[in-house]
Amino acid sequence: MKEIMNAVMYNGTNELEKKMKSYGNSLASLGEKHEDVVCLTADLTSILEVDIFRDHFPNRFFPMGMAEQNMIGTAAGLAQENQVPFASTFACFLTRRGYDQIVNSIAYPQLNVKLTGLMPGISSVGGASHQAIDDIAIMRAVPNMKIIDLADATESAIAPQLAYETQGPVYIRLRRGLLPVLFDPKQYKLEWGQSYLLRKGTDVCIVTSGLMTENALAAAMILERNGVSASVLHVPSIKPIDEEGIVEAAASCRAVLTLDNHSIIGGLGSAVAEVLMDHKVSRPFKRLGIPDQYGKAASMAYLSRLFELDPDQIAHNSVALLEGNKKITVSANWEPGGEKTTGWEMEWKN
Amino acid sequence: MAKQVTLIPGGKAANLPLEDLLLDYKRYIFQMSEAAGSGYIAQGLCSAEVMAGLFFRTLRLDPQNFENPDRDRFLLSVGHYAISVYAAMVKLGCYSKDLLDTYSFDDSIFEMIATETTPGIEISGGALGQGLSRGVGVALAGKLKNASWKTYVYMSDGEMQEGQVWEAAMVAGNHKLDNLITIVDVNGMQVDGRIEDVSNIEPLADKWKSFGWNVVVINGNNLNEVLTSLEMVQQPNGKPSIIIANTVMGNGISFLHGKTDVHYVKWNKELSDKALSELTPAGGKKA
Repeated sequence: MKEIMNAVMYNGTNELEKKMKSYGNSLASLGEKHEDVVCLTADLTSILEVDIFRDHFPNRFFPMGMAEQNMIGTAAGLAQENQVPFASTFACFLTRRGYDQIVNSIAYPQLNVKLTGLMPGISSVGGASHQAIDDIAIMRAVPNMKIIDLADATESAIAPQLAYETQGPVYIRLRRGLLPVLFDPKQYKLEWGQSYLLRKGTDVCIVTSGLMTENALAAAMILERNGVSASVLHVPSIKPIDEEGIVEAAASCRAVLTLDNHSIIGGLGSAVAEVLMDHKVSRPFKRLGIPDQYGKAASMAYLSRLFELDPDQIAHNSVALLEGNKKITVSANWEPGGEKTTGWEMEWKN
Repeated sequence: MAKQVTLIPGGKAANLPLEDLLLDYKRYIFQMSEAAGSGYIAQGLCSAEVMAGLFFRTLRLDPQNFENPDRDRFLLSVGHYAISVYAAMVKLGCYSKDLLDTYSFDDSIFEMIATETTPGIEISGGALGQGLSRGVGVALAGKLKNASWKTYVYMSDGEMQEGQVWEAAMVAGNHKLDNLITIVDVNGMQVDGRIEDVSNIEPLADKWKSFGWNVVVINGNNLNEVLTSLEMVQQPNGKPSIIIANTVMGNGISFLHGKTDVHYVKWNKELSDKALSELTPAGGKKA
């Protein structure tokens, strides 16, 4: 666990800088540096931000059409010949349609394929068919697979290089388009098996990754205004996971609340629960995320509200957890602080 | 640095008579199954002539260095034909003969269904329908590197029922992968019975032609047709090639030949002797 309070750009009131296509630009730079990098897509190329790579290196870009299983197998074939393939599509199609191929053609032989799943969970307005609410759960169960869930423009810019430097299968989970800069790129270093303490508190420890981290920070500030001291532990490396860091952060608070832009079954919350049980850390515990149900075609703002993932709802749930799950009244001055999470429609237009 | 080796088609078997090589190949199939008490013998026999044509006359492999960058890539998509590949590769000196008696044993590298954890096996073939996609990736890498080696993918007709095969077929045709050669063993059978009764895959040749492939249809149990077809597909013409090899399960052994219930066969020494006596006038003993 690293304490990186100074690297957090968000203070609850400021407007965060936003950057366009951090992942795509960074992937193209990686291609510039390393000739062995190749890209495959299953349609959706510009939405996946891989159009930048395609335009720079057309001979190393392979459009596979709407055929995820073959894309994954082809990536494996390229990897066994020492290319470093980045294969991407929407997270739901990548992990659901290609699961057997990911297992048998990539993970079992430990081939050096980087899988990028975009628009996970409620960051897609497409409804149940387009919303990966189970990708972390199924990818966690795959031996040899590393998983990273990206929160902002800074992490998205680092991820391709990190994946390239890592030998073996990697699953990168990220939003797309215009993303906030949550972490100062000069101070922030993304590492496997590392967690990052963004705020240090004593009452509730909020464990978060990806899309949820901005809301977690906002929630912590609402809690602070209401006299509740919250830690925010950011865990982008879902597998391997920083067991020691999670134990330390959880043990220094009275309760633990986890956030998932994913089903509460098998996501970060499940992983944290496993770690705490394994290490005999007992705290009042709650997983917020998508309950055992499907999403629907709706805006991220709507879905976030529906699944109680807005900052004020996270704060409310934190207090309820601390108060022994008693019903409490939300104080009128509990408003989401600062910039609200970007809506999908806005990203799409950009 | 590994010593530079010039690889020749068929390696050390290149100048030996194919009839003798085939007999030894079949002996090995029986020996492996005898040790294990069972095996994919009917597949080992139906694929015998094609495997002989590939391993003893066509593929440029390096028994001393499985990673030799100049080798041809042979990808076994239909993983349970491992028995055929082990038999051929033992004959080429890729593996010790001792391994024959460990086929499908716990901890043996001769796994019943071949995976790339075994040195010399290029892909994990157990989940059917995945091998051609691997082959497309390998062939694309060959094109990127301007390599002279070729990619061979060996499949079974049952695999044609998997949708992924056709995804790969389409991409290979679109990308004009003329360094990719596929052989499909059409023995007409799957676990549930005759393929035409379970879920028909014909007309196979027309399907592959329509996906932009060169198609050669042969009697896969006829050595001359096998050798001619492998020769035909060597010249690149902007298309991937497929050899559709019609074969008979358990070919040449009376009590297996063309039977419908021989997907996986129990085996013992008595059956080995009986089978060998049908193959050689000397009753299975080397002349």
